[in-house]
Amino acid sequence: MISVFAATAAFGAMMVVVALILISRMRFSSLIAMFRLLSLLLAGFAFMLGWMEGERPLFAVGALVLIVKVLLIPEFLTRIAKKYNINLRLQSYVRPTTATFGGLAIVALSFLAAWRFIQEPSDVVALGASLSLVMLGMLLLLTRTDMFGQAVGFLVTENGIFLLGLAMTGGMPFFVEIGILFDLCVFVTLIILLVLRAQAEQGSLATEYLRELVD
Amino acid sequence: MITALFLIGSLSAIAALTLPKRALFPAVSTLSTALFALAAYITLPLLAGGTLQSGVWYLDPFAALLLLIIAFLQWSATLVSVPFISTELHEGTIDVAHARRYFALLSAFIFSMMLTVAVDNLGLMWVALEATTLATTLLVSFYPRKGSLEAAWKYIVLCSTGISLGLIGLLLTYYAATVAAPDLPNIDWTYLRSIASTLSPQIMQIAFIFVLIGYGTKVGLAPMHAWLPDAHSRAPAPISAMLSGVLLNAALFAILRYKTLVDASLGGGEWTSVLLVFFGVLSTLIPAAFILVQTDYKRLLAYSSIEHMGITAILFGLGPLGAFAALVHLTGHALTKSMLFFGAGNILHAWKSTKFERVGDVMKTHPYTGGLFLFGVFALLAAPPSPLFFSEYLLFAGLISTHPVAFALVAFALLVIGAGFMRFLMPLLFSPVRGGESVERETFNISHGAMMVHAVLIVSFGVLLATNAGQTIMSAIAASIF
Repeated sequence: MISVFAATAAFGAMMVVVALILISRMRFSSLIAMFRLLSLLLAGFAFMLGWMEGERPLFAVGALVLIVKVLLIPEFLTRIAKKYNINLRLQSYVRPTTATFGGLAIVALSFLAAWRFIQEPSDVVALGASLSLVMLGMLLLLTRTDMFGQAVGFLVTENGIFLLGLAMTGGMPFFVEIGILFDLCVFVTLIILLVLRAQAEQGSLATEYLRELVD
Repeated sequence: MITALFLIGSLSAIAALTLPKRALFPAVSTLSTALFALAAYITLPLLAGGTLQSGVWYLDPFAALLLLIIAFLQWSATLVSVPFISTELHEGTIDVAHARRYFALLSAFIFSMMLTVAVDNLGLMWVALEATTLATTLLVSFYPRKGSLEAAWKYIVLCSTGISLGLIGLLLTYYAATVAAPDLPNIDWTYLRSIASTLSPQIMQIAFIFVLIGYGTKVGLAPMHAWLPDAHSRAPAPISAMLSGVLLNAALFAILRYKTLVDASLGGGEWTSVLLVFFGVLSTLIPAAFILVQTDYKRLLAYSSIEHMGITAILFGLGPLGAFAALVHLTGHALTKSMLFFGAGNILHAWKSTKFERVGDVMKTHPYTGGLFLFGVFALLAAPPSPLFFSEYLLFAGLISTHPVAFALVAFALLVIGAGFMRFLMPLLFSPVRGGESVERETFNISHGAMMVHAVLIVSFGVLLATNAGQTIMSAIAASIF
C-alpha cells in the first residue's frame, strides 16, 4: 500500500521535472504539450488523493482540472494559433540551457526554503514542489518575450498553487475551486483576445512592441 | 437583502447588453441609482457599530463603509459615464456595441468589487478580487489607441500573478487552520478570527508576506505598482475614477482582513504594522520621483493614487488612532481622486490630449470643470477643511514619535508631490499653450453636477470630522477592524 506521503513525493517530483523541461521549450507546440502533461499529473494527483483518503469531492476537482487545464485551455490556445497563423517559434531573453540551469537553482532554493519553514516531512515535499512550480512559472514570465510564453508562465504558476492547495490542505472548499477555475477560464479568454489584437495591430506577439509606456 | 444588491448589478449588465439604444442610458442610470439607494439603506445603520451576517455575507462597520463608498462611486461614475459615452458616440470614437460593452463590463466590475467586501469566505474574496482584474482588463484596452494594448497586457499579467501569490497566502492560512483545528476547518473570516490565536505564528507570518506582496500589487503599493499608471491613464475617465477611488481600497481591505488574523496569532500588531509602514513609505517616495517628470495629467493623478495608498497603508500601521485616520484618508481620497478623474475626462474630450504641453487655459473656456478641478487639487493636497488635512495631520503626529526616519522621508515626499502638482496643474488651468487650437466653450452637464456633489461631500465630511458625532462614528468603524 502506497502512503499519501509517497504519492505526494512522487507526483511532486514528476511535476517539477516536467516543469523543468517545459521552461526550456522554444516551440509553441512542445511548450503546450508539456503544459498538458503537467496538468495531467495535477489531475492524476487529485484522483490519487481522493482515492486514498476517500474524499469524493477531490474526484470532482480532478475531473475539472482534466477538463479545463488538460483539454480546454491547451486546445483553445492551439486552435487560435493555427487559425490566425501566429508564429510558433517563441522568443526569450535567455538560451534554453541557461534557463534550465536557472530553473535547477530555483528548485534547489525552493526546497531549502520549504525545509526551513515547515517541520512535517510530507509537507516539506509538497511545499517545495509547489514553490518550485510557482517560481519556474515566474521565471518563464520574466524571461519570455512573447505573449504566449508569458501566458504559459502564468498557467504554470497557477498549477503550482493548485498543487499546494491539494497537497497541504486536501483542496479548498469545492465552490472556491470552481470559482478559481472559472476565473482561470476568463483569464485565458482575455489573454486570447489581447493576443489577437496584438497580431492584428503589429503582426507579432513579441513584447518588444509593448514598450511605449515608460516615464 | 445584500443578495438584492447583486441582483441589481447583474440586471444592469443584462440591460446594457440587450435593451434598445434609446433605453440604454435611462436603464443603467436608474439601476445604478437603485443600487446606491439600497446599499445606503443597508450600510448606514451598520456604520455606528452593527454587524450583519446572513448566509455567505458578512458586513461589519469597516466592510459597510467600503460598500457604501463603492455604491456611491459607482453611482456618480455611471451618471458621468452617460455624457462621457454619448460624447464619444457622437464623435464616432466608439459605436453602440462598444457602449454596450462598456456598461456591461462596468456592471461586472462593480459586482465583483461589492462581492470582495461583502463575503465572509476568504476563498470567495480571492475569486472576487481576481474577477475585478478580469472585468476591467477590456476597459483598460477599451480604445483602439497606441499603448492601450500594452497597458492591458501589463495589467492582467502583473495583477493576476500578484493575486496568485495572494492565493498562496490564503492556502497557508487554511493550512494553519487545519493544523490548529483538524475537525471542522473552513475559511470564513469570522471563523478564522475566532481561532486566530491558536494558528501557528510562523506559518501566518509567511502567509502574510504572500498576501501583502500579492494583494499589495493590486493596491498599487511600490515597488509592485508598475501596472497602475498605465492602466489608469489608458482607461476611460469614469473607469479610472473607480480604479483609483475604490478598487485599490478593496484590495487593501483584503490585506487588512489577514492582518487581523496574523496579529491575533502573533499576539500583537507590531510585526505587520512595520511591514505596512515600510511599503507605505516606499509608495510615497517613488511617486514623488516620478511626479516631477510627468508629461501627462492622467498619469500624474495615477502616481498620486500610489502615494495616497501608501499614506493609507502607513496609517493602518500606526495602531488604533492610525486606523481612524486611515479610514478618513481612504474615504477622502476616494471622493477627491474620482472627482479629479471626472474632470480629467472632460479636459481630455475637449483638448483631445492628455499631455500638459497641449492643454492650457482650462479656466477660460471650461470654467465649471476648471473650478471644480482646482477645488479637487487643493482637497487632494490636504488644504483644510479637506478630510485629508485631518488624516495627514494625524499621520505626521503619529510618525514623528514612532518612526522618525519615516517621518522625514514622507514629509519630504509630500512636499515634492505638492510642488509637482502646482508646477503642472496651475499652468494647465490658467496659462495659454503655445500654438494651442481654440477650444469650444463648455456647457453645464451631469458630470459637473456629479463633481459638485463630490465637492459638497468632501467639505461636509471634513466639517463632520470636527464634530463629536463624526469622530464617534469613525472611531467605531476603526474599532471594528481589529
